Amino acid sequence: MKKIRITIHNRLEDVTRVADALDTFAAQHGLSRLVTHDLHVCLDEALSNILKFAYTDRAAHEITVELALGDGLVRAEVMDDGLPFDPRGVPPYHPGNRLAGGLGVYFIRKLMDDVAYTRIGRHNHLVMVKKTAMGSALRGNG
Amino acid sequence: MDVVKEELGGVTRVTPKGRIDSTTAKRFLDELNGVILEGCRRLVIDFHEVQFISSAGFRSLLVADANLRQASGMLALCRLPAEVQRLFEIGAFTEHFTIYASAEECLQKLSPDSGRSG
Repeated sequence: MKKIRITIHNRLEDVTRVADALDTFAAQHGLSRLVTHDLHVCLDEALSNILKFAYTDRAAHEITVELALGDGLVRAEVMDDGLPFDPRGVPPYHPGNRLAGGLGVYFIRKLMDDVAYTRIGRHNHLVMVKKTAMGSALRGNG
Repeated sequence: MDVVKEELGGVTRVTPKGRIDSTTAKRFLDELNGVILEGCRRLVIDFHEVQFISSAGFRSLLVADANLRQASGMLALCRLPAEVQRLFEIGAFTEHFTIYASAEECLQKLSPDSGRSG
């Protein structure tokens, strides 16, 4: 299992560090352009949701992102200590009202092969899984 | 993200390079609003150097498009990389925006000389 872990603070400019880390990880392990693209979009959606909605105070909070590759899958786990938030409970995105929100979570659902959420203690754990090649492991879109 | 802006026979072409994400979406919108404020009414956004666009970037596109429509302007997009095109399809943005495969066709269709009115 090839793995990297990066911890950032809840500042918009820190999200760039995660995207940079993903580019490095993708180059090191030869991830396809498509898989790298989809992970970029989904990590940006997950992190921007946390920055917008997870915190009620103005304190600094740590957010940890772990990328792991193995068995034909890339697994991106995002951990934060914000308010409990299960993205699977977000109402579906509606193209008739594109600015209403929900698009980010909709992208995550559509682009990833599997999405899991758990609350462990004071932390949200969002796990997003993407197949690295067509036809390998796991089942189809959830 | 960097943005290149060009004037091409009555059409403004904006070429963003890199990521249009939560960090850069506001700057992207500022750039688009900037050219509209400067008087641009025929705007082409060339996507061929965009690495990815997330929902924050789509929001910027929608707001700029609304601003341009309010000023009786026209917006068209061109040269979407395959992965980016797929995201437009998933979000049903292909129904909202005018999208061309080639820059030449896009610039020609938006040109004041093309006979098509704004």
